[in-house]
Amino acid sequence: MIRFVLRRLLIMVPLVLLVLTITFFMVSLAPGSPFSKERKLPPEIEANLNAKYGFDQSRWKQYTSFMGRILGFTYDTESKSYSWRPYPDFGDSTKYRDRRVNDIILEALPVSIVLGLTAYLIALALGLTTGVLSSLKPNSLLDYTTMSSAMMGVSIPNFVLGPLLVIIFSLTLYWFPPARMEWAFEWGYVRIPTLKTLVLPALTLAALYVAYIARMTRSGMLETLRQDYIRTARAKGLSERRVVLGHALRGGLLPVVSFTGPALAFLISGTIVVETIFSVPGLGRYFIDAANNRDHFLLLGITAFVAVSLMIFNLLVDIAYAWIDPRIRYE
Amino acid sequence: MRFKRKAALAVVLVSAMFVTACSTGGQYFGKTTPPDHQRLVYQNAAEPETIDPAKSTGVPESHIQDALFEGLTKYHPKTLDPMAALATHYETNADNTKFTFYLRGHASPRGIKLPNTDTLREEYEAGKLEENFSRGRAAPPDNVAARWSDGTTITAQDFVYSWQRVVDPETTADYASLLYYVKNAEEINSGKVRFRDPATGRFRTDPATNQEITATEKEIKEDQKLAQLAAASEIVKFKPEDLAVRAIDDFAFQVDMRAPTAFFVKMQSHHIFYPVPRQAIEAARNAGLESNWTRPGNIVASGAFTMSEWRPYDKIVLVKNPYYYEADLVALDEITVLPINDNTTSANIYKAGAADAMSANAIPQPFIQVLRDKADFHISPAFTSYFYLINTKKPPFDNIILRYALNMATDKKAITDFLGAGQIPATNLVPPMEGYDTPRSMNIEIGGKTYDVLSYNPEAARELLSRAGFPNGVGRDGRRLEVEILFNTLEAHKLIAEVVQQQWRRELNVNVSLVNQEWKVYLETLDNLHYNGVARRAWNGDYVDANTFLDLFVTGSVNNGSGWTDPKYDAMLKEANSTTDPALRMKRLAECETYLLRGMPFVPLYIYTWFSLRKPYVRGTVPNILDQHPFKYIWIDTSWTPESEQKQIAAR
Repeated sequence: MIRFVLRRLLIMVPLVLLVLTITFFMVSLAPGSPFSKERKLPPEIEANLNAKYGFDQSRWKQYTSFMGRILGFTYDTESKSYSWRPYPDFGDSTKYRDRRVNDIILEALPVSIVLGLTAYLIALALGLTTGVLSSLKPNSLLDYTTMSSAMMGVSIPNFVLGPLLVIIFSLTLYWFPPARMEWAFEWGYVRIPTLKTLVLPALTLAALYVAYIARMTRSGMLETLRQDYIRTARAKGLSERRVVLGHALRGGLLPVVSFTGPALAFLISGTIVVETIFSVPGLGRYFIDAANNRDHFLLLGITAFVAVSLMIFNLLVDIAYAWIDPRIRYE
Repeated sequence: MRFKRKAALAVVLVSAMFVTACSTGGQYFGKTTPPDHQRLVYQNAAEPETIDPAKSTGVPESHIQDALFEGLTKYHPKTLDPMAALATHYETNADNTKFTFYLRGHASPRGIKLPNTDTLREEYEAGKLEENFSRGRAAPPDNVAARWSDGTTITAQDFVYSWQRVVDPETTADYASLLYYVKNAEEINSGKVRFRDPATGRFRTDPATNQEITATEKEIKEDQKLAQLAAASEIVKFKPEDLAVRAIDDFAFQVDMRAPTAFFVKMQSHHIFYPVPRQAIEAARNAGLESNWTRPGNIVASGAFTMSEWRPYDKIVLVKNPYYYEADLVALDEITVLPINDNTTSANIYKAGAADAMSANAIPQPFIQVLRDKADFHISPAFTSYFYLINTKKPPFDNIILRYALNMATDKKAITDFLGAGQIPATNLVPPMEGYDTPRSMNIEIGGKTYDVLSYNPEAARELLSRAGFPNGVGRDGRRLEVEILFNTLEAHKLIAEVVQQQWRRELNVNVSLVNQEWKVYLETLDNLHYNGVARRAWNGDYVDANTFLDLFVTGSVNNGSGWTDPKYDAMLKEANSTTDPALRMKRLAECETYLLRGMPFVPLYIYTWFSLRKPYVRGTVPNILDQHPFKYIWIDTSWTPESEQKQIAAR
């Protein structure tokens, strides 16, 4: 098991570098300059900017110095020497001129993580419960009701659901604020929003996942409940409760686990639509911003983060598999 | 299927709810309970890219900068004329090539006294202003020096440092070109060199113009003549210290211009000219990262407010600066600036009462119909023009008669009626401004017949189209004229393009296609003149002067986009700008515009309006064409109620 995890972690390094290489060249080849604006800059000023960010150098040189920084090497122009730090340096944002990409990510990420995790927990709690309940009484009224609401959850995009919730709960009932977060707890980069400001964005974000998880749990459970070992368990005279929770759920959860791993990675790395609608200061807003503005280093920084978290959560999924399903062994 | 229908029904129901929620609820949009103390929550349309006055370019940034910093002058809250800020007086020589500014603290300032808070009171008393911005306070005495928020005195040396910093290529100031009117600024910023004659020790001049010869290193490499000259001379690179600005004493700041620049004082309220705190910048640099000087805790302000908190994409908190020279006039204790870049979200926050005011045009266009009758919805004209550039380098659009035909076939009123937020149909480029005689008509004789080419006249447009070689829209080769309308991907631009498309199809019987491109790609297409027909463009004046629009089309302008240039136009504009008499200068500028319109490198469409929501208890602000609403004058009527408002209206 440990060997498996180590091997996977080692493979991640070249994979991330590959993702960054591809992204680097895609951004670099995209038409348009990070410094083009409605009011065009005089050529000499644009040249000054290009020189400052290193865009005046050959693409290959830009690439090598970027990769060097990712691996922790920084070149000091004054002493003309390299120094090494144990973390990547993504450089400066070209749009947010006074800010470094590392700082932007550090500042925005905790917010996205809290929002994403909350949505994830809501999705798991609601999704699993409704999924299990409807699988126990298939084709009943309960099953139809939950599954049709799940269908709605899947079909209503969050850019419709978000404003809908705002209109009902913020602008008509005045229960929750329509956007923005207030902070219940702040400690350095870590910020925990108040429940009141977290509810609507978290629900909007969770809706789709509740629906997916409920439907997956239901079908997974239905399939497992028909298995021989469940019949055996029942024949042994186990209570229905133990059959469902102790035996069937484990097997029924497998598809859900493989779905929620990557889902969690996407949830915590910032969600563009929900963060924009609710004006949440998370990473998602920077992502689309960075793409629109050709903010090279910010875009690469966020991509690197999303890639790494996807890989880590996939690894966690695989580990969880071995834990849930005794038939799976990684040796 | 059934569920989808259900979902659709739900959406319809909720939209209906929204419309009713908006249209009921009386006179105001949402809650109107004033806060119990002097604090303002202001919605800004974007997260500021930077608040370094030297580096920023956008409007959202300027709202924060104007609270934190001041320049030599600041905008009059209504007319936007320069008013005393850090300078109280200025002097200029006869041909506007030398300006001397006397700063606060100068013992014996000379020259023209800039209007100040006392002037605002007098204007209010004379009925020229609807708001009493002075609120009973007198202007501070001119001989008391202004101070930074750390208590140090603001001196002429601060201006010298800051302006040199702007033109220093290392700073990478986007708007450094606004300083190019100052002698040597462009040379420093673009890294040019001079040629010193080793024999005389003087810089070589061009015998023909008697001007110093300057060149970039690249030009020397490429041009043989320059290379020879370089070999025979000592090459001296322009340094920031070469900028023609100086501190005569602590409180007198002098600037030499490279050419007569009558509007230089008018430009001084722009943030690029603001002094920045050298002490804070150097402290941040010594601490490891110079750009950190704009962070709360490091920042040192010269304006009415200073910054206590900056949480990106969350909020910026500004608090009153006790060292401000006019601190007694400032009512607000705290301003929370929210960066909200989604227009619907912005309207929601306002409606729920979580914000008191917002920057202009940050509500969705369709809301205007509903908001139009609300007492807290405000519309006013803007110093911004919307037009379609014509690619004059691309046949057949190089034919001026064809360009006239396109303009005359465009019903601008139909566009503004469609937009519905009070926009003004445009006959020309420069938005209406006081003292400027806007060209409204222009008669041109073509083929023995006179046409007013600025008017809407489809009949005449068809005649001209026929004269341009496209009778009934068909060319000599039997092919119908193809016109492309290029715009950046945005719903609002698409709708306007569709209106124009219909008009041209109907009136001229030509093929009109819409081409939308992603923002950065569109900018590149425009810059390289890679479009066949017309391209959407809007221009927002940097300062209140026709020149900010007219110099788009001088030779060498990087913001031209049409390919049209004319040496005669360049000369006319240069002459107008060196005219000292303001009235005569305005007249000449209008002549320049008439000449420009005669060349018609664009189809003028409309003049923008500013529209925004502001709670009725937010006071101390009036509309103006740059949408500048200085926070220093704003105050909260904490005892406001709908009844008190009624009483006040009745009293008036």
